[in-house]
Amino acid sequence: MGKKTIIPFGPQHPVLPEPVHIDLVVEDETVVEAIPSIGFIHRGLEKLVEKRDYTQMVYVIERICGICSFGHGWGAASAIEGAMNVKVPERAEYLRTILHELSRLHSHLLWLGLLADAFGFESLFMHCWRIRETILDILEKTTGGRVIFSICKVGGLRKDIDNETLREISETLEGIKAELKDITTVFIEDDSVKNRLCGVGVLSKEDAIELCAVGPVARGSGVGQDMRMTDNHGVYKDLDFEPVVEEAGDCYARCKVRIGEVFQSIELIKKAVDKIPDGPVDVPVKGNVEGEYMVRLEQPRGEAYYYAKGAGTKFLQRMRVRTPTNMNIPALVKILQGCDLADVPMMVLTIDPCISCTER
Amino acid sequence: MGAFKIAKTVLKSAFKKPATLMYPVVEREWQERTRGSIDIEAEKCILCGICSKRCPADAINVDRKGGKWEIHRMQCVQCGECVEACPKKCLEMNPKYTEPGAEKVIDIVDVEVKKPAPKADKEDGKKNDDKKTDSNAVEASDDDKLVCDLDACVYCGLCAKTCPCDALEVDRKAKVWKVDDDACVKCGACVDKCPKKCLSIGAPSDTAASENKEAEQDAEPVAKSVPVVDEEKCVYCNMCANECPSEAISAEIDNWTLEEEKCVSCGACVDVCPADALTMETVK
Repeated sequence: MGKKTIIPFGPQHPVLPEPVHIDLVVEDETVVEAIPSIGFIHRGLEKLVEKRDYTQMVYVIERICGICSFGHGWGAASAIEGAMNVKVPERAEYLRTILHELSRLHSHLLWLGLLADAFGFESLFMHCWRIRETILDILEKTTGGRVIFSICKVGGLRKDIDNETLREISETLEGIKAELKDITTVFIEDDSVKNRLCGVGVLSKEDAIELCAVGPVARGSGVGQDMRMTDNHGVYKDLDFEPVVEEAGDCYARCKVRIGEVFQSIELIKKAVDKIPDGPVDVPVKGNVEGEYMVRLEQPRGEAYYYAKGAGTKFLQRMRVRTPTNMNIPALVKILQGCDLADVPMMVLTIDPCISCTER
Repeated sequence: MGAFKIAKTVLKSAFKKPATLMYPVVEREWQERTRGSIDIEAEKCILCGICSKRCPADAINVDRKGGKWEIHRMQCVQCGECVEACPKKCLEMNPKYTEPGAEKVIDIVDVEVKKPAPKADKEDGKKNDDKKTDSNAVEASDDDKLVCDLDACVYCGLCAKTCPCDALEVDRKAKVWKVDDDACVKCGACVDKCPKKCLSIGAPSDTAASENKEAEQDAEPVAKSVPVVDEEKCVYCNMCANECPSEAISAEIDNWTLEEEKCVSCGACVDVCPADALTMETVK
């Protein structure tokens, strides 16, 4: 048995786009303990509710994260709508669902690229991001922003997306499906990728439930929990789908879940485009927030929680956001115990850490 | 065999054009909706400061006395809230991003505050030197008040509801129309909204009145919102008819009627209805 050494991982590390620090207690080449510490990117956005009124707050909450930005805006807006008893028109709910699925697509493609980059497969990384660019173009055309959309507001959406554009989107997505298939086959079938992912960082179903893992991390361990199914947000109840679940619980399973969700999102968008009703996309909202409300959304990274409380003034009293990465860090610490030092970047990446979300 | 699965994709892309652009030689195509940067038409701006109040990032400063509108380009998050809030529609979202730079840029635009009567010389606001703008602003703030022609006013309260600064107070019963001159930013939102055209900024001049009339004639029939009754809920209590400032409603038993021409869309009836039977709906 060797001597225990502490190797710092992060806050600056090639696989980490964002700063998180993990102290890895290493014995020989094996990690025996991982001690995470966060707090490098706290911006105090929740505190801003005291200075920004509730309509402005949607734009602020949206900027918690650059990747799951739409979901944050939607969560904040619908928590406030719930507290004010505002009923959003059906077309707006459909469009929100479509935009949310588009952002899930771009988030998962970004993640696939980062994963490829982490195990040193540069060309795969570039191809993932090339396909992601198509999605970003769609988002820019429809909302005006590539990653921060600012299209969600309390009471609906700020801009309508006409049916013709929606059909175009649906066709474009159908068009990139073949390319996606080629790329994802590499993740699923290539030996060099499988050698890095299979059997690495196994999180058992019991652990996933006990450590409250959410999103693809939980689904990769056989927990079929998806807020799109269980909670009543958007129009997912009309779209009829099954969550993607893998049983193995290793990095490969988590990768397969996300690949499955990429194709699932395309199907969901196509179904939503077929079913979308005509009508207005917003309702006028008057008055101030009085009361409280809680909303849960399925973000690309898992379940996110939004809570709004108002006391009849134009400023909210409290806005609380709990993000998926926050819930997945305990699972990460668990799977890091006993792994090889060389596999650490892979495991950190497969929980899809979003530190800006976690710290807000 | 599970190796070289990417070979097909790699070979295909070897014969394709690059997916990237040669920045900065090749310019990117902007989408119509791209939120690039905020532009201002200084001639239309009245320095009301609503954009500055609405900005979630505190990127806009409005100096009424100095006649200056400034935007911190690095602070602006391009949400477009100011564009939507501007009562004069002088802000615009330019689909082009600002130039990249190493310094924090603050764009300052000189805005000439107009007097109520239309001026003959329309100089470019940007070229005015500070002194001139200053004196204009001071002059303007003296006689540039919001006034109401109380003979024409029906005290419907639409102006107070529209006011972005809560500067107006209207009490129909006591027939009171009051403006808090310190709070009023002379944005003109109420003037545009008033169904009786009895509001004006500065003393109502003949030109302004005739302009109003012309505008009325030119204007296409716009969508108007009127109260609609849900007869199952209505209890025919007559409270709406009593509240209506323009006597457009009559609510006899089992016969609720509205004279659409008289209706000023103030929504007072909806507010007062005890049975929640009325809603405002848009008609052409």
